[in-house]
Amino acid sequence: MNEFLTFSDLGFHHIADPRAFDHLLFIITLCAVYRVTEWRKILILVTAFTIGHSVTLVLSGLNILKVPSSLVETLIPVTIVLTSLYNVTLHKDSSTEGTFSKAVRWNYAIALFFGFIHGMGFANYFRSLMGEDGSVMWPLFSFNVGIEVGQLLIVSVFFALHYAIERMFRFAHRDWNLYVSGIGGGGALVLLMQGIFS
Amino acid sequence: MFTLLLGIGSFLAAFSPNGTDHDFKMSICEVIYEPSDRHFDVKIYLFTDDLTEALTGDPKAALPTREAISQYALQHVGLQVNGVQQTLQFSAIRQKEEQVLVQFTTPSLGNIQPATVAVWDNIMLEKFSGQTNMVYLIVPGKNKRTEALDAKRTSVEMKW
Repeated sequence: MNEFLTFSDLGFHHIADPRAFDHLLFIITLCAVYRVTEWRKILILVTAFTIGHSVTLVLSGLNILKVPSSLVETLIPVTIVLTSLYNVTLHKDSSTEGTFSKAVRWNYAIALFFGFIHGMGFANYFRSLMGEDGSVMWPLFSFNVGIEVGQLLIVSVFFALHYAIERMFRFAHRDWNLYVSGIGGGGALVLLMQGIFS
Repeated sequence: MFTLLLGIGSFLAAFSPNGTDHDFKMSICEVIYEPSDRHFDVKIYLFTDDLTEALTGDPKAALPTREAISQYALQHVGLQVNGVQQTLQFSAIRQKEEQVLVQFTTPSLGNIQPATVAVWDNIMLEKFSGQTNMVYLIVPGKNKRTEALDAKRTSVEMKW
């Protein structure tokens, strides 16, 4: 239990750390196109991201998949920029479409594929927590549980804010999408430049 | 378009984020009991750049000498078994990817059965206030004990 709590706490703080918000920024950018009422689509989206990052977290955590951390740290802001551009330029209003329409399926594919990259970022941190002795499976599982809890918290807070702001200021959803995607894309560009020039 | 530009501009103008600055200020201390000859192995994993920064002030400097590294580790890590302070004898140093692994052993405990193990570990805290030092106690046949030490808590006692 002690090991579970320690590693799940580390996983939670890794994703929910406001000082290191790259993963957080990706999640809110990913969610920017959705309304609160589209909770089924949001659930599938979050599940797709979870599957993606869990796969590479496990493979990288077990040293089966090895990707240089410098490359991963560069790709993570790229995923945010691309998601932001997709939201703004290509995404159509999904509110009138079904759960598995073409535009929405693209979102799920993006969440899954970019989840692979974020999982490698999680794994880089996780590997720094492990020594040579003892099994990594339980710590890996616990760490991933912490990440999922953190992810759910981020999504919940984001949509609670969305709902409140939309009601208070009568924001059009299209403007909300543009604003949040702009924040995500702008922030990610700064992260990318910092990574390149540091 | 105005809203989009406003979003981008406000974020860029608000502050200069360093949003990939994940807390990688960590070390690992594995305390492993060897029942065959009743001694403990202590393995300390330190990030190479953090270690060189702590010892030389420059994270990109060449790795300090084995003596300097082992002395530094001994100043910041200690082990007690059944309330008795153990002498940590340096045994090896090697590099493992981005980390340096410093190994110590204790003398044999003889006929004494270890019942409590206390570890204090404040390594790198004098340099990095956000440092986390993971401590793992590994005893064959027992559940692995895991503790995360930091600036608020630099020691732990474990019983089995």
